Amino acid sequence: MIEITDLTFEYEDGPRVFDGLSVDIESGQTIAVCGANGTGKSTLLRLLAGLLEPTAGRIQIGDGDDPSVGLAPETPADGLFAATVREEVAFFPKNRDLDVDTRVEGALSALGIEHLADRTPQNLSEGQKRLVTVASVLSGAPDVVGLDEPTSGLDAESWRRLGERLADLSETIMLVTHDTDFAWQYADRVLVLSEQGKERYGTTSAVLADPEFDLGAHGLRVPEAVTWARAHDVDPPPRSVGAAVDLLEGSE
Amino acid sequence: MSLLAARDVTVTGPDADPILQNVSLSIEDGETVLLAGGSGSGKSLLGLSLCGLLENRPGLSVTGEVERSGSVGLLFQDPRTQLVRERVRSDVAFGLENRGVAPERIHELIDTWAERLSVTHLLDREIAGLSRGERTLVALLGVLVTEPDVIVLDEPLAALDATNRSLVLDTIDSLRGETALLVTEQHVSPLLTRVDRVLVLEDGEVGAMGSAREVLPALKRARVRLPFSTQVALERDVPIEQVPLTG
Amino acid sequence: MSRAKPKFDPRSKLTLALAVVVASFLTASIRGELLLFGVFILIVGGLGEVPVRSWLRTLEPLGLLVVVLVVLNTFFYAAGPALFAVPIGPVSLSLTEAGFLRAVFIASRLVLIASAGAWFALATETERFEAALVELGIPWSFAFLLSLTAGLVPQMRDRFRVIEETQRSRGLDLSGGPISKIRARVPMLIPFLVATIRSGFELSTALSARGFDEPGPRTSITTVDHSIADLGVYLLAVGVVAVAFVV
Repeated sequence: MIEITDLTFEYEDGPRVFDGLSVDIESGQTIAVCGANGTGKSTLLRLLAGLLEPTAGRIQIGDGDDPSVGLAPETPADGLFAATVREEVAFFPKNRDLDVDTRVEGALSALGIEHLADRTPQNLSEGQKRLVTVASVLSGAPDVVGLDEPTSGLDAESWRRLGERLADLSETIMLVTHDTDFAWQYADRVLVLSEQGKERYGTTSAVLADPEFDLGAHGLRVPEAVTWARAHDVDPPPRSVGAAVDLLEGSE
Repeated sequence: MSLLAARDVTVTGPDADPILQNVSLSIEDGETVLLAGGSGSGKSLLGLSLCGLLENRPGLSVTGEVERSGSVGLLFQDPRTQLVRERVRSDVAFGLENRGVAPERIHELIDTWAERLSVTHLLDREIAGLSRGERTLVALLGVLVTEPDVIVLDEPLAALDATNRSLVLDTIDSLRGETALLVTEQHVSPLLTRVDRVLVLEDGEVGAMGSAREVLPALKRARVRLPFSTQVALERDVPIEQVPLTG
Repeated sequence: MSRAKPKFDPRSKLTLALAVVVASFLTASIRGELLLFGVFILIVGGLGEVPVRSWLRTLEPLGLLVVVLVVLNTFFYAAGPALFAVPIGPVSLSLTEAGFLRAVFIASRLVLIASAGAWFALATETERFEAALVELGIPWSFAFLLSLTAGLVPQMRDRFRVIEETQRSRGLDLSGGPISKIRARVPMLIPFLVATIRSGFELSTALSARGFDEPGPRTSITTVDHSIADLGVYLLAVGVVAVAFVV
């Protein structure tokens, strides 16, 4: 459980980013954090990870005093330092005194990158680097997994694989993303931030498929599945291509 | 004579791993072409080699011929790379200053193109304070003012929010026919109906070339992200002529 | 920090900053340095281009360095009766009044010089500084290189911050003694170096793409012209040096 209460934050020489933000997030959920540029999405991740101190208010993660929040950066190369992918992914579990080999194998196979284990992370393609950074956060079994624009640079196959794996995880996942299609298919809940603070927080369908909610005004695209559903007069909109196909074939 | 032509371009990486193999293609005047490929397909390097910018990369060996009969502009994947000044207006002017264009003419070009892109309000800003989307627009403006014959846009839509994405797409629409455009992308959904021709790069080779509809099967194989409706139709084996290309 | 329309030519500002540095070297007492600093603060406030508070805040990071320097120099410049002595091998580290005063003097000079540099950097737009250097006869490519570097520093700082935060979130422990602190930073240095080198290549490619290599004369939309107000600044510069002779 993540309890954010009256969170207020402003940078030293900058504007107030949050002013009394309150949100409760259930454990194990995948939350997409969306909103236009400058609304504080990445700042929220940094506050959750304890890298920044709130100006006022509280963030309580779980029951313990020392929760672990792993962050995967927006530019994958910024997190990669090891000589091999295996070493890279081992970093986090090693720091947390976990069973390194098990955690590494688990993370690599979850993302389907076992074949990259002995390659040098900095020499991989952008998409591969992205999968490695996500694996290197998953391997540490943190309480919260924070991903900043995780689908940027991913091809269709990796995109699907990442989504499916995130949906399977028992950890709480916070994804900062513009990719509303990804959020639509794989997130449980969506938090939309605006300059005023929390604009919306609810289930994915309630936020992204609500005809009354102007996503465009918040810099967000209506998910393609939702547009498709409206064009085909289908309600509720299907969460995936497979579901859409089943729906159509079911009605034939 | 084509505006841009590549003949048997082969690029090999530091470990002798093949990145591009015998790629041949040409871009004609006024065409809008989509170069689609997944991550690691070599499309960015192909864009660079077409612009003649792969000359001195350590670790890369490049063979083949590239011919240009016009001027080329390039919009980099990360716009921050090509923004070199502190203020927007002087950064946009950079390319023209290098070409010795008179200051009054530079201001004219900047004002005209800024209006066309609806970014006049950005001209007096500082680059450091811009968002990713705003940076993309400023970088694009910097290319447009030099009025090249062909513009290569490397994954221009990546990391853009809905508003800025629309602006870039609108710009592509308004330039269509006027300036030749080569757009490399992985996320092709909004582009299938905006281009004249599609080239699909698979593992460093041109896997298919033709209209968007013709190359759909190749696009699917290349693991490029297709529109939802397209995926649904392909999954249901709908005949190619009826597969929607948007939405 | 946004700047109002610049009132003064970069050359006059440079002259003033250099005058402060020269004056600082001409002064031989702590009281003199402090007086000069006071005069400089008044000048900065009076000229108005840079808010005094933000300017002084940029000097905060110097705090630790100043303390370390004072401590080290106190021992290094020890002279006269020792208030306290610690023998270390063949030498003896003594804390003396004379040593302490000299150390404080050196530190105050450092702060004054740094503040002059900081003021100049804050008060001058990079492109105007670039234009001013060209007016002074410095080849453009060198002047541009300086302004490019100035722009890179904040970028590098931001990048390092992201890298550091990513590693910290993965359990990197930055506490402990100086040795373990350094060892802990190795996982951060690698991505930083890689990113910096890669940026270097990308920047050089981008510069080529934007016509940096174009032969022929170059123009500029940024001009620097002296105005009557600059005469005042030059006079202030002379005044500052004069004050140094007096104190």
